[in-house]
Amino acid sequence: MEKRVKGHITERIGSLLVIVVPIVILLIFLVYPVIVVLIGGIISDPFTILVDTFSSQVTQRTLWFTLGQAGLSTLLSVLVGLPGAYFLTRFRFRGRSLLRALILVPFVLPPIVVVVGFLRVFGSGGLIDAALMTLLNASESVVNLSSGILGIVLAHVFYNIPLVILMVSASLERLSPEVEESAEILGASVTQKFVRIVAPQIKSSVAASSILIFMFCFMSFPIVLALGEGRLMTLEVQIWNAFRYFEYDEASILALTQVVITLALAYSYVKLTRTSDDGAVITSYMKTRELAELANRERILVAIYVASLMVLVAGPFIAIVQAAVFDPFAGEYTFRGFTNLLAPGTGGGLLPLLNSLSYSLLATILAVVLGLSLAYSHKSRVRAVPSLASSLTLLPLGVSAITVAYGLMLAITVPLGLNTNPWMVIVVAQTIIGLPFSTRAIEIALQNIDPEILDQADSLGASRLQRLLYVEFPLLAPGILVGAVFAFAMAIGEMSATLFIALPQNTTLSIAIYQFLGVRKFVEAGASALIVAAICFIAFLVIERFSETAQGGTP
Amino acid sequence: MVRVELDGMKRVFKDGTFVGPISLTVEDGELLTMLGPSGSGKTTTLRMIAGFIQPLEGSIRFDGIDVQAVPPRERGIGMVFQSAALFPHMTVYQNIAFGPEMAGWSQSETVERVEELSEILRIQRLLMRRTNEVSGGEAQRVALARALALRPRLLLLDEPLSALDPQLRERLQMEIKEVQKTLGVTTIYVTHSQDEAFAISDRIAVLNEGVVVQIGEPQDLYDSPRSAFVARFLGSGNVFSGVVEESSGNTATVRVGGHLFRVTGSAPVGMEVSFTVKPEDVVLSTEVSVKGIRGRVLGVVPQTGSFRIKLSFEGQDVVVETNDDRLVEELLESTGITVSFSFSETNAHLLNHQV
Repeated sequence: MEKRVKGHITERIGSLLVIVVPIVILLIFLVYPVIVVLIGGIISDPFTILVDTFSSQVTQRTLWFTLGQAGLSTLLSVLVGLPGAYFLTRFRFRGRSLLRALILVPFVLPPIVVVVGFLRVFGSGGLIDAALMTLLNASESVVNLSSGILGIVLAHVFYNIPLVILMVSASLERLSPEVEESAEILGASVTQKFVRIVAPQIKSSVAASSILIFMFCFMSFPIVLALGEGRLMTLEVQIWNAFRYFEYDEASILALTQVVITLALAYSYVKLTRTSDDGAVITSYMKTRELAELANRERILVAIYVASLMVLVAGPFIAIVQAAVFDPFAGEYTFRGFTNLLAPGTGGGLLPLLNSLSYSLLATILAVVLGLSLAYSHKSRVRAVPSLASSLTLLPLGVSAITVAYGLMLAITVPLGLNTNPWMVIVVAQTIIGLPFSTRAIEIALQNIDPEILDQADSLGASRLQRLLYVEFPLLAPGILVGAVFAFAMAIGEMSATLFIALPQNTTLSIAIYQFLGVRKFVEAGASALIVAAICFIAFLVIERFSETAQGGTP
Repeated sequence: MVRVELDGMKRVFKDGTFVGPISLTVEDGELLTMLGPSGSGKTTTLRMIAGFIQPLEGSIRFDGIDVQAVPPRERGIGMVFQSAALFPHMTVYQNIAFGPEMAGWSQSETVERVEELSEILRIQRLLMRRTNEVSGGEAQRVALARALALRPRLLLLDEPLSALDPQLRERLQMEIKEVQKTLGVTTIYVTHSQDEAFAISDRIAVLNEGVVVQIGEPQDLYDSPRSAFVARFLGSGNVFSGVVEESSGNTATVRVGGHLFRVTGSAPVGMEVSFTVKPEDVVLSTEVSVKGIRGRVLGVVPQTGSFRIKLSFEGQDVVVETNDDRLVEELLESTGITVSFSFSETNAHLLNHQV
């Protein structure tokens, strides 16, 4: 009897620890550092710093550029993505499900890798430029679409089209094609049909995806850093710059400004997605049309659209392969990039490769442990724990990577004297940045476990620990795998926070790519990018494969 | 309103399935039902009439005028889908008023028309509701009102009641029929339920594998199905297959297994044929004679006003309908017993030499 009670108490303490420990960890390594940064900006003489910072021409230019490029990128992404969403929802053709899956690929590619592919397609001496040079018989570069605001916006659009297509097609799927046909029969023209029937249906998903895209572009760092030629800066880049030049007050106040804006965006996004579910349709079973039903003129439009989407989305992805083996200066193919990856010493690729692998592995282990316990705290019956856990998990989405890294430097690294070799801090930063994704994957798997199975285990006399080990974990395995893969892919592609924290001996592949690009060693950059891209692509395949089984294999 | 003629209309799909050739005439003011199992091409035919799908061959004429080049919205049709397909972001009123609005009617005309229709369909109290606040049956009424708002010449109904529960379905069948007769609008109704087709139609066209296999008034189809498919599908039928032993005038003797049946119709001796007998025309008896035709009772199912008894005969099922309570009582007491059955030759009809 006594033993049972005692066992019961240890179990309760155990489950309490599971809930409390990750929350405490996040409070220490995420909330506290960010607060230190934000307070640092206003504690000494807030008014003067504020006026000083915002009256400077540089800040004003940064602010306008940040907002402007984010707005433009959002607008273009939506405009290009909308027809794609409609096309994917309403038409049936060979390779539709493949296309649907491939559209997600840019999603998993780290920005700095995208930059490499982008330069190869759109840059000076890139594929488009080379084709035009041959066509015009020119000896010098004709166009360079990859630099300045044009390049930044194009890269952002590449990145975010999938988001529009996914979110809008999800809402379109809830609108039965029969509803559109009804409108057609009742005399609505194509425009009237769009304005009166389709637009109200997709309104909130367009708004929601716009907010997300705006937020991503607003916090964009690697793309702007690599394509902005040093003169174009987002707030994120300027924070980094300010930190590098010891302008800590300025960095803090800029971070504060950024957080206020991103949290407002995040808040409106959450509001919007909560209220937008009321337009439920009575019944809607999907009906799709054959491509063959289209008139010739429409078919040409579709072909042009798909072709340009290919150039914009698939082009950079494929170009990474070429960039890894083609030296644009010598105009020849070479394996120098790959041999460099195995070269030790300064400038060699071996150190970054090993750093990347070990940091990502550690971050993955941390993310899975944290993610598992956070997923359990989401289910906790203790008051306020679930909402606290989920806000802590989602916080890294609303706080930029640079702010997180800055906080970690200010509040953890320097006070603890870790700044001579901050590898642990890099791992922590990479863990935190990937945490929203890995936790979500595990959480979904946890939600999908049928509670009756657990009751069944209980009724068969399993102790809580036995139930956990023999029933829950095996059922969770696919979810944990997906979470781990997310964590690994995010960590290996992470560049912003890592660049912020790393000393030369901590260089990772992502940083190496950026540095190679800076010294115009394109093949070396390409080879590193290809490695990272391949890892992320494999990760994507694993995620695709296992998130389906984890969700009960919805076809 | 309008007379619809389909002339050899055909459509082949990529996967090799096809619909047609279908030739069919729907008279002015008539309610014609296209009845068939799923995949028989009824919805495709309806969508070709609406203009959503172009036929590859043949023609569609409204009052003698070819409409193939006319887009759906100019054909003067109203259409109701199984899903009701109400506009989700509008009220019931806005749904019904959508057509008139598109056609540029004046405000007062539109209001008047919506009120008139909502009175006929008894949905006045729903007008200000959002479409997600109405029930399935109400949604179909709204969809019907919306389809009728522009005074279409032709009304197309694609399984409008299939998603509803049986009682509601029966009530709405009567209402649709009433409204259709009052307005006199030519109507084509698609369903896979023979009960629904019988309850509502002036005429029924039975479709199978993309073609019309028989067309006629409900009673005609029920009494004299021309093929085993129609007999079975309409539930009018026990279908027996055998070989003609003897034929004289309009009667023939057919051997089924070891038994001889006398049936109406003529066919050459030695030919393999099928014939049908309706369940209510089969007479059962518990007195089993050696010479009689016997079957084992598999089960008794009570229906409204009668009982349906299933027999096993020569490896096939024979369905018998009876309202003889005494007989049923006897059968219920001893399940699995063998009974004898018979029918008069005037109730058994040879099918058109089709298995």
